[in-house]
Amino acid sequence: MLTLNETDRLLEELRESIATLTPSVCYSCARCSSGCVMVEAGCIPHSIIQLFRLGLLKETEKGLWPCCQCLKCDARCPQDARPAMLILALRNLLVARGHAPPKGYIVMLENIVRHATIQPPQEVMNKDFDFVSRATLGLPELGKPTNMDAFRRNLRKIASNLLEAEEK
Amino acid sequence: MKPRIGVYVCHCGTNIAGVVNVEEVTNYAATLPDVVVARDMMYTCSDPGQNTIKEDIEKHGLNRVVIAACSPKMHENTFRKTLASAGLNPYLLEIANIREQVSWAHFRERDKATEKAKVLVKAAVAKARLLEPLEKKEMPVERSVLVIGGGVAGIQAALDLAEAGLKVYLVEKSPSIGGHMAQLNKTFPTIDCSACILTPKMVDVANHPNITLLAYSEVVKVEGYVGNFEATILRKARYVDEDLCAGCGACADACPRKVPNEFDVGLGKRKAIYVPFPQAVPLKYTIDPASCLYMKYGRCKLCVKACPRGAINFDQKDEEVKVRVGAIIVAVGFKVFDARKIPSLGYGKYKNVITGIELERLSNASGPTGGVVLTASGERPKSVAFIQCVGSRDLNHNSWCCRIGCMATLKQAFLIKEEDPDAEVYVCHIDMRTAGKGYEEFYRRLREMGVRFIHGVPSEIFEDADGKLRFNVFDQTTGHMIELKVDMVVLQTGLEPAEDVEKLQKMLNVSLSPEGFFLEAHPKLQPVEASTRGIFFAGCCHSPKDIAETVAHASAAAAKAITLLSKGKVDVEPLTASVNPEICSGCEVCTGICPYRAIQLMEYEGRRRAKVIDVLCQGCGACVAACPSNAIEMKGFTEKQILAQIDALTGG
Repeated sequence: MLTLNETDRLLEELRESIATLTPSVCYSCARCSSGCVMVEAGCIPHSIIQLFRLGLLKETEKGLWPCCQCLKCDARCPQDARPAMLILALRNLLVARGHAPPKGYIVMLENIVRHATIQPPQEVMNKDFDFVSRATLGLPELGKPTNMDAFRRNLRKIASNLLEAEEK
Repeated sequence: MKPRIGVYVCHCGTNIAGVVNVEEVTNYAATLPDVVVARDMMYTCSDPGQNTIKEDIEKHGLNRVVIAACSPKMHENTFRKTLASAGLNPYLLEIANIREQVSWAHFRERDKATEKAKVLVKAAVAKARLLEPLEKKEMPVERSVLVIGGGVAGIQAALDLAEAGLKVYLVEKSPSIGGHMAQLNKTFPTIDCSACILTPKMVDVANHPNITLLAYSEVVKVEGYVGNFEATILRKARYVDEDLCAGCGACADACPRKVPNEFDVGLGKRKAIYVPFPQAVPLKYTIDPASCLYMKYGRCKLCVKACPRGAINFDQKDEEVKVRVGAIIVAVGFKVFDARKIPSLGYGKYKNVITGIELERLSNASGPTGGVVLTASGERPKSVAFIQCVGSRDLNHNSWCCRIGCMATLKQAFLIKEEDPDAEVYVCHIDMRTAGKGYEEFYRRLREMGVRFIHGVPSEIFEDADGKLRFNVFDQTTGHMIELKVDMVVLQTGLEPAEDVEKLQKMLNVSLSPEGFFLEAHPKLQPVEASTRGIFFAGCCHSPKDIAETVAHASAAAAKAITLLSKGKVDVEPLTASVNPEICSGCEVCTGICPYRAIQLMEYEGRRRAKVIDVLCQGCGACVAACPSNAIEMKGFTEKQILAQIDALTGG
């Protein structure tokens, strides 16, 4: 457990990469968590904020990676506390400290490069966590970038811009 | 004169007509004896409704009116005025309550409801036939007001009354006015200095030509009635001549005896001859006989030698003064919950567990530490935890919300963070209640300042060997048990009724709520009036309030007293009991039973007979029922009238 002053100092540090971190103003109404699609997966935004504020950094870890950064919580927060930004910042912190993100997360990133979506677009995960093709369920095919090469080029451009920005 | 009765059955929109067959009731009413006209109306209390009644009175020569509508508590006065404006005595009115007593109570049984409405109308008509005209009386009033309690509520009320030209007697039991507000350091949410905004008002009180300030005094007896009260006030001996004392303080400098200062909630010391705080009003020294060496042991008198004006007078005696006033404003404030009643929180056991009011004194420049918050060992606390709702919202202690604890904690946390931004401040709360102008914004400001709020309160506090306080608190937001170790714990204790409340309740013959605060005549529409006329409440003796609410409440009480006394006379309702002295045997059963002390024994043809003081009588009828000789009758509710009503109800 961090002391409150350590937590405050850490917050200042995190603000260097994400300036809009304002977790202190949260009053725990839980509107973010009530609307979060990842609560069942362990991501409880208002709780992550409070754990962070109380210096329980380790306890936040479980909830960080399921977040899909849909930013609904940030948009809906009545106090502009921006839970999604804190989650992002804490993920960066974990990676910077040498923790690898969960394997599934890497697979998702690879899928984006390969298919432009986080899972193979013509497959659907069923209740038993098996992948079945959309066609067998009678679902229409989903669209994807017509020019995958251009898509990947642009991805690379975005990534290198980000890296450059970070180097500066 | 033969009765000619008009009956008006009200729909009250769908409130009545949605359940009761109004038309059937109206047709039935038309068949009752002496009924000349019967109508149903959508809204009888509306202008068109009242105009129809007026027209009927004129056109049909009505001399009694029966209205079947809502409770007489709602509109009896409205319709009395309708009758009066049509030239009819306003007491020739009878109301059948077919809303609260019929349509609202029996909405599932429409047929039976209609039958009940018919019977109530029948009873009302039976009584109306026997009604007699009654006349209101007027009584002259004293244009002066007694204000009991010199906290901010009493001060505000006194100043408003005095400015309106009324004479005010402000009675305060402690040596100085100022009350709890004088003890506070800053006020929320503006962080105004409490003394800076209060002391100018205190000085105004002392200087106002219309205010007689009776500090170090207590009201011991109140007699009389609205407009004409007589209060007896005990002026306790200060053993210092108020006229001679210039407040220089030479006596206190000389006094060798130091005792805990009540004003600093025991944290600081005062002398046996003292003023409670430097800005005291009146700035007159007082000798506390329980601590004075001369008064206890007959030796010392250093103060007498020190006083350059010869103001000290050990022969001074308590004195009683009587004042006549037209109204009384009760503003006796509150007392703070004693945190020792919850031993598991460690107050009184661990030195660094303190209460909110103690923190006020510690942070106040005129307080025992000169305005620096220090732990028992004299260090600035690096970590402080506030515990909310101590003794409040707790069925074992005070069931109510203290209303100021959340904001008081935010303010105190602000002061601690302002003094030392690195101090760790936690607030363990049940709910944070910050309703009020600028209050929610202040709460956000405190979160921004880094105060940590934990949704949950601890149940037990421990002291470690190093003097730090340690406790577990379950944070409901995260579902985690948090263990905190801090230098200081502040228990935000609640407000409860002042000690004098019960004594005053008996003296003034007013009511208390189940919580022990004074009970207003109506929770929404008469928030400052007692049910006894001429008595008003201001501030926390009525219910917990913050300063802004207290001041508003006090001004409201003053306005009500001004309204009452501005006409120079009060109306007295004629619906009072009266004793037939020919029948009365002087047994005094009624005098004891009257809750308003409205019956006195008087000389009548050489014998002692009961007599009702009209202005005091509230028409409750207790004496009528109790009189063994049947000598008392209630105007507007005579035995004949009530029996006729009962006969009608029971089918006679």
